Amino acid sequence: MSHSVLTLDTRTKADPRYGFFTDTSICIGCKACEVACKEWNQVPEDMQGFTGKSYDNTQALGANTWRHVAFVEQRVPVGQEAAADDLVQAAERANASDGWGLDTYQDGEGIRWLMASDVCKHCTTAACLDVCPTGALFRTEYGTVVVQEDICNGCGYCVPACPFGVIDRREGDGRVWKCTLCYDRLKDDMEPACAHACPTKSIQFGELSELRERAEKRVEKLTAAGHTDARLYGADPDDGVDGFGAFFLLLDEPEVYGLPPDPVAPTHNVGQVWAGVFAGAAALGAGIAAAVLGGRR
Amino acid sequence: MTREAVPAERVREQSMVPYGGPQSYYGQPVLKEPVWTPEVPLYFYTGGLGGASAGLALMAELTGNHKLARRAWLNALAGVSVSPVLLISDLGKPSRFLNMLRLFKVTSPMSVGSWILAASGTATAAAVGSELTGMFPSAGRAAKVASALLGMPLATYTAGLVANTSIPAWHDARLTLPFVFAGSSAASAGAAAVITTPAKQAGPQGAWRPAAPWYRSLPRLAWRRASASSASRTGRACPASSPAWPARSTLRVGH
Repeated sequence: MSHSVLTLDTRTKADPRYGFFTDTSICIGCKACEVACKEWNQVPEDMQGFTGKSYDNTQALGANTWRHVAFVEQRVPVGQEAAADDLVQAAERANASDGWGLDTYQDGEGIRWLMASDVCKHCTTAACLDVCPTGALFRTEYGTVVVQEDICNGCGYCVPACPFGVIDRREGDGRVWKCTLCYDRLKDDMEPACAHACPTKSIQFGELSELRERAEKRVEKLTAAGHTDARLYGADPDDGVDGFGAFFLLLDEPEVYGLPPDPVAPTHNVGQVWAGVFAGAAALGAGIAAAVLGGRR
Repeated sequence: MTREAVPAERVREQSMVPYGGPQSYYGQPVLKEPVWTPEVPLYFYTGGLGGASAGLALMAELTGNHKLARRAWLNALAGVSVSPVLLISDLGKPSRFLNMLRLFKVTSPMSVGSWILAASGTATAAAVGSELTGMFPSAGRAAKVASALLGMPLATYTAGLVANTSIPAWHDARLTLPFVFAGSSAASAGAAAVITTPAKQAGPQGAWRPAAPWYRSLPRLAWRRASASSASRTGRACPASSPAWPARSTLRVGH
């Protein structure tokens, strides 16, 4: 892991650390998570209308969308049989699938549905938190990243800092808003609203270490059943944000879901940023001195 | 139309490999667009102008060009006075602007920059106050030095501010962007000084006169060549030559 010494103390040391494992292979696109999130957190309404982007009329995470269900329609070969190399392998996978209940909800006739409930990643090295000048964004005792709405002055620095485009400023309000991982519910020993509402347990809440183990096993089973595209996204503590607090199981490249393939917290390079700033400042001073002294005649 | 009538190059071949290019979610950007209003780039200008003007003012004062120094101090004060107004008006909650000084956080160039701007504004106001009233001259001198020193990072930290984001063009330019901001700040301060200062005092002044390197005489040579040729036409004398310039015989001017 390469940490900048200047990243200070904003990385989580919570133990146990809590988070989400969103298993998109069993997401049915019901949007119960979106609704439960809006209801519990009293998030204002967003755009109302028809986007033409499959069943996705929410479009993206933002100030007024803290859970977002993505809908991807792909015309690709589907099913265990299609991915098998021979009939024996296909039969084995069919058995495995029946025995473990491994069918995903996405497989259909000649078209593959990918549905995924996106959320704030609650990064281990959170750029939004690192750049926040007021301290409104803070690390909770659960290892999550939360905005204190009575502190935020709406400077907007976290908005372009987030490598996932999660956090945004709310129009008419002026402050930034994002998923709190239901900080208030955690305080009362309740799971977050989205996980509570999810009918398929696609959204799982729990201790991060335990969720990671569970996710690894799920990927192994899916791979064995022929879903060779199954992969974990954000479960690696050595990635550009040092691991997500809310990670995912995806069935295709992250880009397909609108997620960055290799997210990096810009504040990892804050040492270089300051080196540049002070070198530039020194150059400016030297330039002015040269103009005033060396320019004499 | 028969099948043969279709040109061969227009028959689309079925792809045998999956599409290998970049994919996206309905073409939507991954990152959020910055929410900053035009006040912020305008502040990049005023902050740069204020910071570089403070440096120019101190240097002009140290070399005895008091007229230029006075004008540059006023330009610096104008720059650092307008800057907070622009920044506060950009905030989503302007009434909470003081929250900017709740912390000093080195991972946030905006936090460090807020402190730089606050300190630079205070120092510049004190420097100009002392300059105009003549009161507390020693405190005024300290304030001038502080203002000039703080003015340099004031002009360049804004480059670090935008570089410390996930916007690829900004983040990838983190080592070069501060020099661009330094250059534009110097240009802004120079331009403001030229506008506000009488032409006689706008240039470098002073008694100390280093030996002129050869390339610095090039503009004068051009001027001499032009005036010499016009003198040969009008019959007026050439301007007096200076020992720093090359001998006229080596130049073959006017023929």
